[in-house]
Amino acid sequence: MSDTLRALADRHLRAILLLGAAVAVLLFLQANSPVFFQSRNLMNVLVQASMLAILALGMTVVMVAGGIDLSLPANMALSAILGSMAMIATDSVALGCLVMLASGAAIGAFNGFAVARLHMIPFVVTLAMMTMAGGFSVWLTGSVSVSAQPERFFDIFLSRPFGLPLAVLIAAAALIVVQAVMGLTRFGWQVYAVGTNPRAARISRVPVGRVLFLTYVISGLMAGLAAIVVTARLGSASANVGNDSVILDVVTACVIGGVSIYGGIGRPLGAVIGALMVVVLGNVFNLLGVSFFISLMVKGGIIIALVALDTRLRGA
Amino acid sequence: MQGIAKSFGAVRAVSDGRLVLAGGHVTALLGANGAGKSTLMNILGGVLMPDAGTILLNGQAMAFRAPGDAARAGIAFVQQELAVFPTLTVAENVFIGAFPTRFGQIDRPAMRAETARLLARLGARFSPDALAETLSTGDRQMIEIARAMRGAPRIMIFDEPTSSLSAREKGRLHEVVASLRDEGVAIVYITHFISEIFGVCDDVAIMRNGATVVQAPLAGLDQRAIITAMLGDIAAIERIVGPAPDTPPVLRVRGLRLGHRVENADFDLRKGEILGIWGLLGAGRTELVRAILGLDGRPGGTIELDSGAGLAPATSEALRAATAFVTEDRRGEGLLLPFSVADNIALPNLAALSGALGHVRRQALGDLAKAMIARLSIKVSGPGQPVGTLSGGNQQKVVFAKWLATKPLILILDEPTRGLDLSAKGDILRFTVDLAEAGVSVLMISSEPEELMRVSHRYLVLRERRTAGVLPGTAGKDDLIAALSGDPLIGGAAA
Repeated sequence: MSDTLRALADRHLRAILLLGAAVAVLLFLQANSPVFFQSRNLMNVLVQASMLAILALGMTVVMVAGGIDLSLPANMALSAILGSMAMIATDSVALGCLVMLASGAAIGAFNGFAVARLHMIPFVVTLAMMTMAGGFSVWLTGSVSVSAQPERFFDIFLSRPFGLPLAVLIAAAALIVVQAVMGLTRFGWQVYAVGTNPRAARISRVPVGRVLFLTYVISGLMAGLAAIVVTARLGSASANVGNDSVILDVVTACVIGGVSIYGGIGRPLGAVIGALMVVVLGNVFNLLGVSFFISLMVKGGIIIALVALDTRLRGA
Repeated sequence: MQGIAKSFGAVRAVSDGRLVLAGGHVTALLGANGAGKSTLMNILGGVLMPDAGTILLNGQAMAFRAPGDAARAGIAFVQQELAVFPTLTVAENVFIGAFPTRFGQIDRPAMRAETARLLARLGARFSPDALAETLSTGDRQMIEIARAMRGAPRIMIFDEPTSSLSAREKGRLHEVVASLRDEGVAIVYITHFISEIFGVCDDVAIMRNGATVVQAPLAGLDQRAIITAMLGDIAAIERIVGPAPDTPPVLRVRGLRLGHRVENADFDLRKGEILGIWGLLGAGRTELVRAILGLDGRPGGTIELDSGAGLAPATSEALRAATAFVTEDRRGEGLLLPFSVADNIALPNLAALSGALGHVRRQALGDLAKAMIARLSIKVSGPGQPVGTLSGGNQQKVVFAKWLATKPLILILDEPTRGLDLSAKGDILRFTVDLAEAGVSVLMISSEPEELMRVSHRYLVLRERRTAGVLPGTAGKDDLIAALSGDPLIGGAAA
C-alpha cells in the first residue's frame, strides 16, 4: 500500500512542478513583458497552439498504444499541398478540405499497415514516411509555396464565432472527440491495454493488430485536420510547414502533457495543455528576444527532465 | 557439495543440496520443475553464492564469488541456452573472453590451432574459420563445449543439453560425453528426459523440493524408482470432485502435431469434466494447450469443437473465442498490472459491455466487477484498486473472474496455483470444481500431483510430447507413476 501512496505523491509532484513552473512564467511575464497579456497576443498564441494541439492529439493516440509517429508534420505539409492543389483546381473549399483529411488518413493507414501487419518498428517506419512525404512535397511544389487558394477559404478562418478564431474552435472540437474516444469507448480502452501490455491484451481477446492500425489512421487524420488549420493561418501550403522543429514541439507537448513514451499512460487533454505550454514558451522567448537556438536547448532539456521523471515513476 | 542452502527472498530454492562428483564419472542430476537443480548448479558454477553449506574441491573448501572463480577452479558450465555469436567464426566463439594475445594483439594462428585441436577431440568436422551462423544447432553446441573445454576443466556441467537436438545430434553428444568421461573429467548431466540417462550416466542424483534426496549408481535403479524419488510420497488425497461425468465430448483432438512441440495428441474432453494433464516436465503440456489454441502457429491434425450443434472441425480463432486460457504467467500475460481490478475484469468482455455507439457502459462494468468480486471473494479495497497491488492469490482470482464473465465452453488452466498460499490454492481448486459442475470443460496442468489428484475426473497422460492414454480419476499413485515410466497402462488407450 505504501507503494501506491508514493506513486500518488509522485504523480501529483509532476502536476505540482508543472503548475509551479507555469505560475512562475506568468509572473515573470507580468513583470517583464506584460504585452503578453494583450488580447491580440493571446489570440495569436491560441491560434498557433491550435495546430500544435491537433498534432499532439494524434501523437497521443499513437503513443498511448506504445508507438510513435514521426511523420505527422510531414504528413500535414503534404496533405496541405495536395488539398490546396485540389481546392485550386476545382475551386471548391469543401473538396480541398476533404482531400487534406483523406490524404492525412491515407498516409496514416500506410504507417499503420507497416506497423500492425508487417510488424515493423514504428520509429523506423514513420521516420521513413517523414522522409518520403517531405521529399514528395518538395518535388510536387518545386519548392514554391501554393498560395492560390480561393479567398473564401481564408475568409472563413478570419471569422470569429463565439469570439474565438475558428481554428481554436476546431482544435477544441478535436480535443472533445479524441478525449471521448479514448476515455469512453471500447476502442479507447483497447488502446490503453495494448500500450500497457500487448501480450496480455492479445490473450484477453483484444485485436491488437487492428487497434494499432487504427491509431495510426487517427493520427494521420489529425495531421490532415492540422493541415487545414495551418494553411488557413499561413495563407499558403508549403513543404516547409512540416520542418524538423515541428516534430520536436509535438513530442515536447506530449511529454509535458504526461503522455508516456512507453505507452499505456496519457490523456488527450494533457497533450493539449502541453501544446499550449510549448507555444507559450516559444512566445515568451520571442517577446524576450531570446535566440531560437536557446529555445531549442530549453525544449530538449524539458523532454529529458520529464522523461526521466516518467521513467522513475514507472520503476523502469 | 554439502548442506547447500539458498533462498531468494521468501522463496527457499535449495534447502539441503548435496552432490558428490568423481573424475571419470557421469552423474545425472534430475528433479521436477522448481526442485532446485538449476540453482544448485549455478552455485557450483559461481553464478550464485550459497547462503549456507560447503563446496569441497579435492578436499579443499572453495568459495566462488563470480563465475570466473569457478572457471579458474576447473569448473565449466555448458548452458542450456546457447550463447554462440552467429557473426563470429568458430575460433572467435571458442576463445571469446579469453583471446590469446601476442604483444597486445589477438594471436589468431594460435587461436585457430588450439580450436582445431579441441574440435578434433570432440570429433567435430567443421573448420575453426567457419562462421557460426552457418552451423546447425548441434554443431553450435559443439562450439559451446569446446569453449568449456578451453581451460582443461576437471568438472563439466551440461544443462539440458539435448532439448533442441535431433536424434543424430543427441547420439553424437553422448559420444562426446563418453569420451570426456574417459579422459577423467567429472560430468554433471542435467536433463528431464529420464530414458536418456541410462546409456550415458554412471550414477544419478535426484532433487526434490530443494533437497537432494538420493544419489546412487544407476545400475540398481529403473525408471519407476527414479520417478518415485522425483515425485516423492504422494499422500492419500481427499478428492473434492464427484464421479467423472459420462457426457459427450465437447472437444475432440486427433493426430495433433506441431513441429517439435507436439509429436502427436489424441484425446477427448467431455463436457463438464476436469481433465488433468499428467506428465513430467518436458512432456509438452503447455505446448499441447497452446497448440490447440493455435498460439504458436497452425497445428496439423484435426480439432473438433461442439459449440452447441455437435462436434465440428474448428479453426484456431473459433477455439480461442470459446476458450478461457489462464496462463502460467499471471503477471506478464494474465493481467494488466497498472489497471484496476474492474478494468482487468472488463477487458475480454468489452464487447458485451459496450453500447451502440461503441461507448463502454460504466454502470454495467461496475456491476460486473462487483458481482465477480463477491462471487470469488476477492480481497480488495474496491473495484478501482490497481491489480498490481494485490496478493498473488487475489490476482489469480481476478484472472479467473475476467474469464468467468466470458462464459467459456472450455477453461484451460496452466499451473493455476503456482506461487499461491494454501488457502488461495484451495479457493482456486474449489472454483474450478464449481465451474465444471456448471458445465464448463476444464483442461488442467499442474506440477503438483496432489493438486491434480484432488480435482481430476480423468487423467490425460503425456510422455515426451505424445499423449499416451487416459487414466480414471480414481487411479492410485502407483498407477500414475507407472504411466509416466513407460509401463503398459492400466486403464486403456485414448477415448
